[in-house]
Amino acid sequence: MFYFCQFIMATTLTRRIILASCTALLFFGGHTPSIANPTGKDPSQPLKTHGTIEGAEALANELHQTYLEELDVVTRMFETRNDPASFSDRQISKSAARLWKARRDAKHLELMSEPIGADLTRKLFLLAVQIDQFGLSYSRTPRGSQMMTTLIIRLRTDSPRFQKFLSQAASSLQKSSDPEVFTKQMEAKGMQMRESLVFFRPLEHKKYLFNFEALLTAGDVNHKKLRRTRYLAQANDKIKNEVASAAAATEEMKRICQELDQTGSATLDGNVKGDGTQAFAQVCKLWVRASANLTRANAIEWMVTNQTGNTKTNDITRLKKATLIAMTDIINSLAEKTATDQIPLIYTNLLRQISQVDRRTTGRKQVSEACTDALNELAKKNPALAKDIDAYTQATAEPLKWRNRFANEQAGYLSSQQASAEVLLNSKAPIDTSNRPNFARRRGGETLMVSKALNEPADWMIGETAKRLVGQSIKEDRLIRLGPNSRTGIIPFTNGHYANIALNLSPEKEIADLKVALLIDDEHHALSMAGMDAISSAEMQDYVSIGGTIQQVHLEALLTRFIAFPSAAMPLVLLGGLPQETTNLAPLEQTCWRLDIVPQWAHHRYFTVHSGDSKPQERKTAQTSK
Amino acid sequence: MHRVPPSGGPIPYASASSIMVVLSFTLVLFLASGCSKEEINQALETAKSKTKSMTNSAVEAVEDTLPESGEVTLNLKPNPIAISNAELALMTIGDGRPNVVQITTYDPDASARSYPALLLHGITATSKASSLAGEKVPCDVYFQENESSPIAMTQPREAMTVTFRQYNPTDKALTATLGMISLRGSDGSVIEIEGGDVLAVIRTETN
Repeated sequence: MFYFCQFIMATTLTRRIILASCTALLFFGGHTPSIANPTGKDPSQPLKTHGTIEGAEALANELHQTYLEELDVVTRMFETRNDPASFSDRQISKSAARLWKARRDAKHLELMSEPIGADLTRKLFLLAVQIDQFGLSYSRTPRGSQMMTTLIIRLRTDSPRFQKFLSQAASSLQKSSDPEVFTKQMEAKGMQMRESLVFFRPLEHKKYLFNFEALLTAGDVNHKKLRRTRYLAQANDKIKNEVASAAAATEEMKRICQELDQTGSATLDGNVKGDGTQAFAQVCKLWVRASANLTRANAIEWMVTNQTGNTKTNDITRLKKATLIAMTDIINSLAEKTATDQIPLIYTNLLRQISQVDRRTTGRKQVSEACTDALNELAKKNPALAKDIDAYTQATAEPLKWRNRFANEQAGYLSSQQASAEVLLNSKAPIDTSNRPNFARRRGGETLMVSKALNEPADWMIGETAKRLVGQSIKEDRLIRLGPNSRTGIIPFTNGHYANIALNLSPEKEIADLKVALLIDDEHHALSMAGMDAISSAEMQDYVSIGGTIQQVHLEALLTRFIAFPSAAMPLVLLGGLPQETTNLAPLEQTCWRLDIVPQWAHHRYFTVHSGDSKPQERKTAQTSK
Repeated sequence: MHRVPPSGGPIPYASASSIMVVLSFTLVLFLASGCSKEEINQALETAKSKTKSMTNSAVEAVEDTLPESGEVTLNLKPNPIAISNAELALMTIGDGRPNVVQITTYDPDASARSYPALLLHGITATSKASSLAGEKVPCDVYFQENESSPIAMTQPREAMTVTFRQYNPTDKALTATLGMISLRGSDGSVIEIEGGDVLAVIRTETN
């Protein structure tokens, strides 16, 4: 503990990175069943489960443990592969049986639509291949030959009993008995047979298995059908619940609007009465919450349909429409009921909220455009305000134009040495496989920097990708801060990845300078949408782009990311949209890479800021020349 | 009544020098062609008369054009430049915040910007443009020499002092001198301005 404290106090940067990571973990890890996904630092972590189907998490954890134990066995045996006489026949038998069962369980996890199932299938297969090799090698040693003679005698002796078992199994299959019981009994027998058959050539297996495999396959077909129906029902229940929650949010928006219109206030979260601006904030919250509901429902649909086409697009559009109507209704109510002298305060409060939510929507100006007429009507109720808005807009238009152009050019200059995320992630680089288990190392060629498919064991993929990406310079677009007090910004999911940005920048002096240009002080707020967007995005640290260094890489499964999707992580998906697939691969196979980036600079719409900038000082003027 | 800036400036100097050129050229022409003394005297009178008329028309031209456009001399290091347009807007918001003084060398409403382009933007308690004379206003500076050159602007916490000198009520023009300032370029360069002069025509005054 003491060392940990010393460590975190080492540097401000380190503290911020840790804080940001913890915040991110809190937001993204809070609702997910497993602890963490594999990272460059800890590649051996299993892929998270989304846990849509009951029992998936426990099964995944158990299988991951089996994998780790068997990986250790195989790695050790591979070291002495040239001396098969040193192998333990008991160990080979035990591993062969465990791996046979584990591979079947991994397939079960796949049926539960858990990406870790597919990952474990790949990993366990590789181990099983090695164990089979070791079994055959051992059988050819003098000790192994003796053992084979004993084994053959035993298999022949047991054959009548085994055939009786098979006959009972066939009858049970015909009677459509409980598939659970059938599978359990067949698996127990299968493991027993595997303990012996691992020492035989595959062609010889049939001789001792008779119709075991055919019966098992037939039983699996039945069982799979039953499980699939059960799992689909569970998944559909969850979809229904999510869609119902989203619909309830829409209804809640309508109720808030009605109550506000009738009474001038509305009952909000926690049974507290709120005014119009608070009602507006509540509608924004409900939009986020309902969008998260639909994002989850949409992703569960991916597992149901086994493709990543978005089926909830219409629901998302309807939700957006309902939200925009609620927003304009609230502004209209406010225009009707607010005392003239209170209108300026209400007006600027709404401008700030609208600018904030605008930056979190797909179209960027959809909310402000939808609210423009209602806002104009509100302003007209106070003629002096309407006049002030025009004058303010005119007085601040030119500095905003210049600052925007300056920031764009400066960002272009700053980013000239940095590859965009799209270019970097789609580039090719030599692969270093030296961290793979000894039985899987190969000469590395050039491969894509990140793979869109989970096509190799996740721990190898993350290790090899992190080796190439950590420390690389990268430019990302559209940073959205998780919340006003959060130290983490998000690059929304795009091109198969998203990013967590540790907000270590200090834009205080740029904000102070912008406030002077925008005539803003403690008593005077921005009166134009452009002005308010400028200052609210600056204070929120929502940036157009950032450039920085990749600090860590995480490998997530796309499906899990968006099923186990907390509402707080909503900036990952812009409001009014859904995550877009990047390949035609099955949902189970698609990756979602997460990059943790420490920024060196950020491009705000009206300034750029570099890491390590000092705190603001008094605005000073140079001496006049004349 | 002063119709031109009291301190003189590039446009009056330019007009005077062109008049001198015309006068000298007329004399040389007559001398070269071997004229008599009387003829020369007559020619001189004619030239003087022409010169007077040209001087008047030049002043009139200055009177016509100056209030239309204004001018900025920017002592950029190493090469000063002149921009033949400058308009001043004094904008009052009306909700108690400071007023804005804005000097532009381009038409803010035009779709294409003219170059070199300069914007001076500062705040003042003064609410009438005519009362700016004698005021020192810290201004943000935004400058771009041509379309492809880097944009330059004042750094945060810094501002150029614009000292307003004289107000000309007839032309509704203000003269001002510019302070020294070091600007940052969008390409990371530093642009030094060692002062300058402004003759700005008051275009907008909102109250």
